[in-house]
Amino acid sequence: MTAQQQAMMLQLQQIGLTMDDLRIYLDTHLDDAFAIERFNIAAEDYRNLLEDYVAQYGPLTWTCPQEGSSNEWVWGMSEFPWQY
Amino acid sequence: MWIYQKKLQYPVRVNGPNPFLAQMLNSAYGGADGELSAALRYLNQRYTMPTNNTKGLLTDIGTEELAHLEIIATLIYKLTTDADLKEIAEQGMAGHFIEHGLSTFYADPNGVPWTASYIQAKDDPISDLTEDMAAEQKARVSYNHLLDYTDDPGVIDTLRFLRQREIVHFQRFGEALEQVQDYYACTKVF
Repeated sequence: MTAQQQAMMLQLQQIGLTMDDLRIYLDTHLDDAFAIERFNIAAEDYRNLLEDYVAQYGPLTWTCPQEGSSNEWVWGMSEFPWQY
Repeated sequence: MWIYQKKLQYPVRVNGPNPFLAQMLNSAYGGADGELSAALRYLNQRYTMPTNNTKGLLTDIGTEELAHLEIIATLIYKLTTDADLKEIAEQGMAGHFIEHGLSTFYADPNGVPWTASYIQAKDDPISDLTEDMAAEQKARVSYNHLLDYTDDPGVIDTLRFLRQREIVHFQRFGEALEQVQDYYACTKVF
């Protein structure tokens, strides 16, 4: 994994963790409008970043479009997180 | 259903082989208060919770525990990669190696295999959520004990993150317990 890919992965992890934390906070604070707003901002950032990541480095999850080579199942070839 | 992502919830970096630490980390993998117990406990208790947001909380925390299980497995995998047989024997991992090679396995640092008797479900949200709060505290203490034996800065960073999540989960379960008690107070028919 290149330094550039690693930096992008770290950003995904940071925003992903923000969402994980807000998700369980909201499970017990159902009407916290400020937290919902923060969640929506993070969700939008995550969606945009994920789109960029997938376009450059292949699918993070199998429901992502299989960009790149059209005759190869990219999901099946990309490495797993314990390998990098 | 669940959708797998090729992404760890938190980064894992290790300084090099450390079979001793890998063996100790089995506590968080297949130990009584480890991440497997946590994930399976919450994901099983959620079905009989009285309110949707409590079902949601157990689903979401249970799912996060699966991500923590993968973080621990990654730590163990990386700490044993390139370890030689001499190191493995000298550092107390020979028993694991004879049984499983360098595969991870659901057993505690003493080699005791994981068992469902570590966890419970009572069809009673007060009882279940109280168990969950205790479980988070026990897991927090186990991470304290592991940190006492860790001098690898990358591993310390990851374990501190996991310990912090136990504290957050404890807080959320406490809130859910209070809400469930209020819910029963309001719906009680005399």
